[in-house]
Amino acid sequence: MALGLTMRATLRVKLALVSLLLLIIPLLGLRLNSSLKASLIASQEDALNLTATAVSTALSNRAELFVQERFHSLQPGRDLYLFQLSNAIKIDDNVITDWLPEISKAQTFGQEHLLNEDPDFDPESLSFRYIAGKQDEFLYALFDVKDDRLVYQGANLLDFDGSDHLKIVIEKNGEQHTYLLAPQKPGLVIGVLKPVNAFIDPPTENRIIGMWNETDKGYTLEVRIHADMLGDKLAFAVADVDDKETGSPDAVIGTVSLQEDSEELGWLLTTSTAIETILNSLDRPYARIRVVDRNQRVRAEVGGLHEIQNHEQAADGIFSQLMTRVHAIFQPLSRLFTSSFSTDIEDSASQPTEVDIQGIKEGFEGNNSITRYHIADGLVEVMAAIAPVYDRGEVITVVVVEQTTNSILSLSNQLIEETVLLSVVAFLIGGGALFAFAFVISSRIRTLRNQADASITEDGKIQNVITKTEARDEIGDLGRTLDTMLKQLQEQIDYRERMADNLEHEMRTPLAGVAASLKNIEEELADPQTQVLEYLEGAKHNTRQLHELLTAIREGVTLKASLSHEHMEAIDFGEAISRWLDLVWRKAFPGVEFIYQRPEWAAEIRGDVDRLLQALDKLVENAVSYHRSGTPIELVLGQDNSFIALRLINQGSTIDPDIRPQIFEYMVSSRVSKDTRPHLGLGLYIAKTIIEYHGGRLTGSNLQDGRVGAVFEVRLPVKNQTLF
Amino acid sequence: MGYRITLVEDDPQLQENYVKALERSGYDVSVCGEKQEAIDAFETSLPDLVILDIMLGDEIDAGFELCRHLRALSPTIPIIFLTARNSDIDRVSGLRLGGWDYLTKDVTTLDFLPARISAMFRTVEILRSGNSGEEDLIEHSQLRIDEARKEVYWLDKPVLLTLTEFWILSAIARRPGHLKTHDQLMDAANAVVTNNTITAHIRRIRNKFREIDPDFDHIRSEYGMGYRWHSA
Repeated sequence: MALGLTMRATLRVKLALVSLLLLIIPLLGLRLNSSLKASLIASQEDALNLTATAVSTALSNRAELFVQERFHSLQPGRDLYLFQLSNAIKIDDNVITDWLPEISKAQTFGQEHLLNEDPDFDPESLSFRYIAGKQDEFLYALFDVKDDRLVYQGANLLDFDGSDHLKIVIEKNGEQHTYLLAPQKPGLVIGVLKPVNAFIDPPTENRIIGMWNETDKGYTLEVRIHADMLGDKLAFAVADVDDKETGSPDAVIGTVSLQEDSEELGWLLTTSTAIETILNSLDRPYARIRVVDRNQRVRAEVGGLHEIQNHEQAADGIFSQLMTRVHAIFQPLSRLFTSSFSTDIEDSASQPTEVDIQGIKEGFEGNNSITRYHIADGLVEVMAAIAPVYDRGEVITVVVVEQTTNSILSLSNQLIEETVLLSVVAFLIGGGALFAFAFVISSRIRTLRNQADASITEDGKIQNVITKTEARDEIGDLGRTLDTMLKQLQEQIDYRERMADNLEHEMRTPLAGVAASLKNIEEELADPQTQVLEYLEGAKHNTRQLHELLTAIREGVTLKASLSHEHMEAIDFGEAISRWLDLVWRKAFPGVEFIYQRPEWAAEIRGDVDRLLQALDKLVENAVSYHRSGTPIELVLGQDNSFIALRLINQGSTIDPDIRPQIFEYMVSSRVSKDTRPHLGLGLYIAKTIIEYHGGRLTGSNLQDGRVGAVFEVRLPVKNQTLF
Repeated sequence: MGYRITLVEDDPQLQENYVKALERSGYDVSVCGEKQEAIDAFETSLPDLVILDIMLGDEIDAGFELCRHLRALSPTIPIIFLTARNSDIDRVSGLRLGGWDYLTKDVTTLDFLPARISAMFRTVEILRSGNSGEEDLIEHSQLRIDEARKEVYWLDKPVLLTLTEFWILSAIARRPGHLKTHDQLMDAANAVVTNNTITAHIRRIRNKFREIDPDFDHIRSEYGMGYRWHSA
């Protein structure tokens, strides 16, 4: 309507729109899901926090686990932190690519780590990067040494200081041993224990082996040391000999100053097996527990972020197969609502050995905290609970318990998927059912409406076509009510007609009696007074009028039945009207002016002359009754397509628009007649019935040309167009 | 003349009035108010003419039954139905059962009833005398009208007409091609009737001919002026 269009919303459309309300289901589902997710995350946080607290409690006040120095004094450049190596290291090849994941952590040693004070040291002559890590039962170390000049050991000369070599100092159980790796040529080199006495053959140590490879700028040395040999402290030193003859290295660069003082050796820092054992006993599935020191180094770690994917059950049975398929179909739709996550988490060895997440600091300040961060390009969210571990009232380390939110996401996604799926199914089934219901209801109402429409024909006849249903609902009731109404209406109409018939029949005898009495009086009164004769005449006139009324009623009642086999003949309608005008109507209505417009051509129709005259008689009579005196009655004959059209125009009263559709019905009179002749509302009914019997139409309307009055139009089929 | 007429009529008012009027015309009138009374009376002696109402009391077809009874007693006794019933079916039934005329009770009944009765007695006399004059025969095309006997044949088959219809038809058919106006036909029918009534009678006459000959098309309307017999 706002657009100026009259949109007709059928019941069907409305009900379909109402069914859209089903879309609330997925919205509710999503809302429920998000609150469920929030509460799950909160409970996971609680659980993680509890675990962290439990772990920290288990570790608290156990001094033996935390040797003070190890946790507090990692000095870069002195203490050795052993990385957990992710790749299997192969010593006996010529490549160092297997170190790649950790090589960026390599530390560089140069002039500032020079052990022998040499003012002439050329920084270009020696420097190295090194990294150490452990894997299985070995410690591996990689030295990438820049050395402008390589000097190898002589064949049998055990003069280690006379060639480039690596010195390894290991302290175990308070004893220090120094091992040397001094190759005679590039390739595999086996460690030797540095003898106390230079003249004793140095014992070889098979548990230390190295791989010496020359490079553009110097050499690389991969070292493998068996864990059995390792103690608490360890130090390396690279000695560079540029001139074999000097007998002593030109430069020595060490990870610590390699004095004979064990205090100076670097601690060998690695994850604590003891702590890990305890942590393992606190086993928590799908969680990673890490103990982190002040330098944010991981000092113990158990568990992983990996989940055991055990909910991928094999789809057996038709239903679950169907569900899987349905899931697959709706996956693109579900994706719109779910948050994707990755379960592909690189675990264990490749984990950063330094933990730099928010909350560690707070942990060392003695506060528990919960944090969340993303890994794997933001595809995985990790939740971390951090709790401090106390030893004698001081925070010595923090426990980080981590878990991915994958399980929640997965649950949430599953929920969303099911919500989406169920919504779609509900929408299809529910909506379908609603739509079908709407369709059925609307069809039934439509049928009823059409039947109700068809029940009263254009000419006001009732033909009850309502199909009564047994449906025990409102529509069924409506149908039955309509049926009953129509029947009652039909009964009323029947009664009206029958009543007229009965009335006519019942009145005829007494009327005939009155007329007979009057006749007898007239005949038998000898020498009646003039006055009496006048009375008699009046009474006879009235009885005749009554008689005419009764005859008219009879005619109306029996007209349709008697219009069955009329004598149809070719009629020149124009000529016929002309004759009737002169012979009938001008005589019948002497004071009335008639204007007749007649075409040149012969307006030929087929019909029963008497009946047509009867019909036109009624119309002319009607026009005369309602015309304003002084105005003419106009009869205009013309042709309209295959119809001959006669328009009868009278000025004067008009047809009441309210009653216009019914003026042709039996015993309906619209206008207030001004003449004294009886009006039963039969004239137009008879005219219309006769004209329709001739295949024509009779319509009545008010004048539209500025004059006030009514016009009735008779349309009759042109002769050769008819089927008669 | 002294003809005896029996009027079978259950309405006392009408009975009295009609008796008066008929007696004024010189007939000897007896009345019966119900069917059995009439049957008993006929057993005793038959009148010269009977006027029958169809509905007597609660019996809606008593007049027809009496007519059948009378015809069994005498094939020639003139029977006139005078009734309030006005349907075509009743008219046809009445004639088929042997009625000579079928009149409806209305305000003009007494204006023409005596004339009809005398016409019937004339016919009876002619039938009794056995000589019907040639001049009383109308014969052309397939039509034969015996004016004296009030008999009409079309294609040699009898056409059952009421007296009114007979008079109208013979007026039209006497001179084929000549127009008979409504007024002329009204005079011929010894009735004061409206144009519509003449039209209705014409319609009934045509229908009776068409029952014998569906193509019957010899009675033509002249645009409301009247009718003419159209030969061939």
